This record gives sequence, structure tokens and C-alpha cells, in this order.
Amino acid sequence: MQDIPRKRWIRPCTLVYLIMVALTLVTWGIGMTAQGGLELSLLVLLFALIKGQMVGDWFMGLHFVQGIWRWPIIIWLFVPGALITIAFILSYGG
Amino acid sequence: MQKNKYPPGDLAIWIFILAELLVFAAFFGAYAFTRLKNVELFNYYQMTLDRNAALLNTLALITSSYFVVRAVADIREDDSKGCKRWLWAAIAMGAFFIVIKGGEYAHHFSAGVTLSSNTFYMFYLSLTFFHFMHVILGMVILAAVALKVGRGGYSADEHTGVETGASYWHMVDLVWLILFPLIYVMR
Amino acid sequence: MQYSSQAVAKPYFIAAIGLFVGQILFGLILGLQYVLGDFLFPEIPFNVARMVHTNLLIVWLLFGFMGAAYYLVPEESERELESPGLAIAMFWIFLVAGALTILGYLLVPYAGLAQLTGNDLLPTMGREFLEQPTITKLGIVVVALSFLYNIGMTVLKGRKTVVSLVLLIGLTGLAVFFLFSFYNPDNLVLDKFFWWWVVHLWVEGVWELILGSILAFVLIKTTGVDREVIEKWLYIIIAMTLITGIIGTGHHYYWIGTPEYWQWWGSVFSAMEPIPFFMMTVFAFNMVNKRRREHPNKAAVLWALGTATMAFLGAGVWGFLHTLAPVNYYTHGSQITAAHGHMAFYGAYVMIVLTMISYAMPMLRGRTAANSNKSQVLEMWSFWLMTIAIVFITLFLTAAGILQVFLQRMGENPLPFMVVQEKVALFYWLREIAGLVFLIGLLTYVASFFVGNDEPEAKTAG
Repeated sequence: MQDIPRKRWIRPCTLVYLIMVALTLVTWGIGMTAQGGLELSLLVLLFALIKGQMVGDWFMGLHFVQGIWRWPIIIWLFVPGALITIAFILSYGG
Repeated sequence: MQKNKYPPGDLAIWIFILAELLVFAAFFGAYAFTRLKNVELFNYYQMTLDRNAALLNTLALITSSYFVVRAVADIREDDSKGCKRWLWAAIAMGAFFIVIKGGEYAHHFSAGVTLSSNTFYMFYLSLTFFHFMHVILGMVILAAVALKVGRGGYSADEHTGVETGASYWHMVDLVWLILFPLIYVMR
Repeated sequence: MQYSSQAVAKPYFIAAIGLFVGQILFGLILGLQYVLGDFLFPEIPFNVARMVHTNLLIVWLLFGFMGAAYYLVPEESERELESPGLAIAMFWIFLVAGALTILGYLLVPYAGLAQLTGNDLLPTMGREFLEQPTITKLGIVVVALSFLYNIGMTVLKGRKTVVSLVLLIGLTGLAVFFLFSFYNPDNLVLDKFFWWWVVHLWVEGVWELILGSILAFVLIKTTGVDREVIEKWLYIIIAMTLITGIIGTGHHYYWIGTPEYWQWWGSVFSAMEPIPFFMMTVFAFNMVNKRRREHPNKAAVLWALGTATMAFLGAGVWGFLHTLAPVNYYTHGSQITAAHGHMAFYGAYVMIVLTMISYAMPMLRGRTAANSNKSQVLEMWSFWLMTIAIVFITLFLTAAGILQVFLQRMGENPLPFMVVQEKVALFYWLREIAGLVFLIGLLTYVASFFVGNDEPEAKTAG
């Protein structure tokens, strides 16, 4: 496999890491309010999917991959993401 | 820029990773739809979980994943020493996770919680414990890689093993990123 | 053949094929008894025929595994077998014990056999697949331990390869889990719980390791693909097998009185059990496509590919069909189980043993690599006859099973068991016909050992 120049990989990864920490703190903050609600739950789920996407794209390096191997993580995130979303909407009587 | 056809690491680990992710996806879906039938029960017992511990553990795993990224970047530049340091730092974060999670389990078990207590605890314990075992396996893999790096077993030209271990560890992180909001926060 | 001690595999293979023929004959008797209930009664009642059919299967597969190990291990370890004499002695002990047990089933009423063999001292009899008298079980342990010693010492003293280590782990697991057949608690739930530790952890656990390593060995030999590549696949396959298979035991715990979480654990993990089988299929076809040489033994390659395909279909797909708890609630113990059982055992274990026999037997009989063309053509005919026959047996049993579940367990007015049995009789007849085709295939297989022996070896094309 061809290696990616350091700068083009590490810098985005550092940024991604900081964003992930921030999203985690927000998620935790929402959790500590123990408030719940459909909108907040789905927002938190969205944060998680964004974080997952970042891990796949940058940490795992799939951003630099072309073809079918670009997609498995994205598709994987979509499946539980969709299932959980549907189940939560239903649990709120939607 | 030239893009790669295959993800970093051995393709075999990727097949393994996908198979594992499938298992977790099944469990996530099962959790969400079982909750649908027991919303009050799930909401009630979710409050008995320690969200502070979950925060620390999430930070531990993403930090650890980031360290592994640095380790891979170092070995690509033939810096075995740097690679080794980052790997052991990542393993230390994994150990931190184990300790925190172990504390949570100890708390629940001393409160008499078992798999048969109720459906929420059944899922909580099954899902987190299955993930817990993956953290341990991931640490074993990283340690094996780190030891080989220490012996000078990898170089800028040949470091598939490092990338293989790294990819597996990112998967462990990835699963937890969904697990954390799903079990601890969403209600 | 590189090592003279590999020759001990030959009697094991011959015994395996002989007992295989016996198993199929009893299968045909059994199939006929489904539609003609008093056929051969009282000489061979249904329960005895069933016991002989299933026990013969297990015994001949064990003969096959042992033969395969005796052939494979010296070559992998690059040294002679620790003790060829012990291997031959154990062969005769196992064969005589096996034959006496089968004769006991056929000639003495089962309760009488239990009394005769002192079952009271250590009661282990009377449980499905573990019907053997306690003394036979002890014999099996002795044979297994001597076998493990023989194989283990050879592996440990010689070159250690992934193939031989995985095989050794599988064989050790086989011996260890068999010990649970001696544990027979009074509590019926516990009894069943641990009974599955033998039955499930054999066929959906350690046997898969044996299967994987034999398949890897034959593929290394016939395709010439780098050992490293094949070993990597083997690692991933066995890891996946163990992850899914061990907790997958839970799919037997749904309705026997165990805690509820087993329905989740069993469903989720066992639903993933097809994955390693699917990997095996991808693996086998990939390796054959990447082959670096044309091996003259085309029949062996065909068996190897057949194993990978049929194991996935029989164990993977047909297992998945009824593994989820909500589905199994209706299908449990119906003809769907029988359909799965037939194709899984044939596809995974019968075929892997026949793969190994196909690969090794020519060398054991003095050829350099392969049988004559004539013999191989006949063998490949037998492959297709038996494989197609088992596919039809499976389809007919599946149809019978679906109908059975529908009539007997669903709907407003479920019908009684025996009424339903009469309604699905047509499928039992069709299954019996497919069974006859299977027998023809098996006889063709046996015949392939006797034709074309004076003709020259098949050469690689081109």
C-alpha cells in the first residue's frame, strides 16, 4: 500500500481527535442532564455516527482508499444508525 | 493524489473486522428494538449507570486510537522508537479503560446485578462485556506488535503488521463510540 | 508419500469407508421406516436403526479424522510418527470396540445392553448420540489419549506449522469435550446443558478446526500457493469459528430451562456462525484460482471445493434458517433440523474426510501423486451423485419440515404429530429415492478404488 505523506494525514487526525473530544464532552453533558427526549437522543446518535465516520476515514485511513474498501465502515455506521433511529422514533410513538 | 485500492494492514484483518462489526450491529439493533418494548425499564435502570466513568472511558479509547495513528505515522518514517512509544502509550490507555470498566462491573456486581436481573442489565452486561473482551484482545495484539517493533521487526518498507494491529484497535474504538451514547445517554 | 509411517493412515481410511457404507444402509432402512413403520420390525426397531445410523457416522468420521491426522502430521512435522505400532494397535482396539458396540445395539435390547455392560456403576447411557455403553466410552477415551500422545509428540518434536498446531488444538478439544459425556447429572436441565458441550462444541467448535486444518493442508499441497497466505486465512477462520461457535452453543439453550439471556446470546452469536464457513468458501476458491501448479489429482481438488461449498450451504445457510430464537420456537426438533443435520454433516465432515482420502489414498497405494484418469472420472461421478443426492434429501426434508411446522404448530387448528407425519409422507418417499441415489453414488465411490489400477497415473494437462 502506498503511504500517505505525514502532513496530509497527521494534521487532519489531530483535528479529528480534538473534534471527537469536544463531541464526547457534549454527549456526556447531555447525558448528565438525564433529560432525554427524541431530539436530544438523535442528536447524540448523530454525534456518535460523525465520530465513527471520522475514525473510519482518518484514523483507519479509508479516506485515502478508492473502490469498495472505501465504503464498509460508512455502510456499517448506517445500519445500526438507521435501526437505532427507527427504534427511538417508534418509542416516542412516531 | 494517488489513492490506494486496499485499506491499511492485512486484508484478512479487515474481513475479521467486518465480521466483528456485524455482530455488534446485530446487538445494537437488538438493544434498540428490545428497549422499544421496555422503555420505562430501560430509562429507569440507565440512570444506575456511571456516566462519568463512561466519559473517561470514551476519552481513553479515542486518545488511545489517536496514539496508534501516531505510531503508524512514525513507523512509516522508519522511526521505530517513536512507534514503540506511541504503541505503549495506547496500550496504557487501554489498561486505563479496563480499570475503569472493571470498577463499574465491581460496583454492579456488588449491588447484586446479574445477567438475569432484567432485560436492560442483560443487554448492558452482554454488550459492554463483549466489547471489554475486545479491548483485552486489542491490547494483546498491540502489545505483540509493540514487542516486534522494539526488536526492530518493522521498517518504513515493511510495516503491514503495525497497520493490521492499528486497524483492529480502531475498530474497538469505533464500536465503543456507538455503545457509549446508546447505552449511557440516549433515553 | 514422504514418510513410511504415514502408511498407518490406510487402514483407518478403509475402515472409515466401510463403516460409511454401513451408515448409509441403515439410513435407507430408517428412511423406509418413516413411511412403512413396521419395516423390519421387531428385528430392527426405528430407535435402534437411528442409533446405528448416527453412531456409525460419528465413528467413521473419527476414523477418518485419525487417518487424516496420521497422514498429515508426519509430513507437516517433517519426521516419522512417534509410534506407528501404537497407531495400528489403537486402530484394532477402536474397530473391535466399535463393531461390538454396534452388534450390541442390534442383538441385545438397549436396556439389556445397559445391564450387561454395568451401566449402573457409572450411568452414561441413554442420551442421544452418546448411547454407547460406558465401557465403550472409556475405550474411546483410551484410544483418543493414545492418539493424542502419538500425534502430539510428533508435532512437538518436529517442525511446528500452523496447520499441525490448529489440528492438534482441534483434536485436543475433541478429546477434552468428550469427557463431558461422563457427566450425567440428575437435573435434566444440567444434563442437557452439558450434553451440548460434547455435541455442539464438537461439530460447531473443535471439529471445525480439524476441518479447517485438513482443508488448508490439501490446498497447500494441491495448489502450491504460499503456505503463509493459507495459514493467514486459517487463523482468521478459526478465530471466527471460536468466537461464534462457543457462545453460539446458546442456540441449543432456548427451551431447556436456562436463563433468558441465552435466547439473545444464542441468536446473535449463532447467526454469525455461517461467517467462518463463508470465509472457508472464499478461501478455497481463491486459493484454487491462484494456484501455481496443476495438480494431477483433480478429484481431490473437486472434493476440497465441494467441502467448502457444501459446508457453507449445509452448516451455514441451513443452520441459519432455524437458529434465531423466534424462528426456532416453531421449528425446534422438526424435519428442518434433520434437513440441516444431513447437509451439514455431509458438507462439512463427510466431504473433508473424503477430500483427505482422495488426496492421500493414491500415495498410500503406491502412486506418486494421483490415480489413473479412469479411476478419477469414476470418483468425480460419485462426488456429483452423492452431492446432488444430499441436496435433494435436504430439500425434501426441508419441505417436509416447513409443512410439518405449518400444520402441527401454527394456525387455528394444529394437527396431531402422527396425522401430520402421514400428510408429509410424499416427501419421505422422495427422500428415500434420493437416498438410493446416494447409495449408488457411494458404491460408485467404492468402485473407483478398484478400476483403472493398472493404467498409468493421470498427468497434468498441458
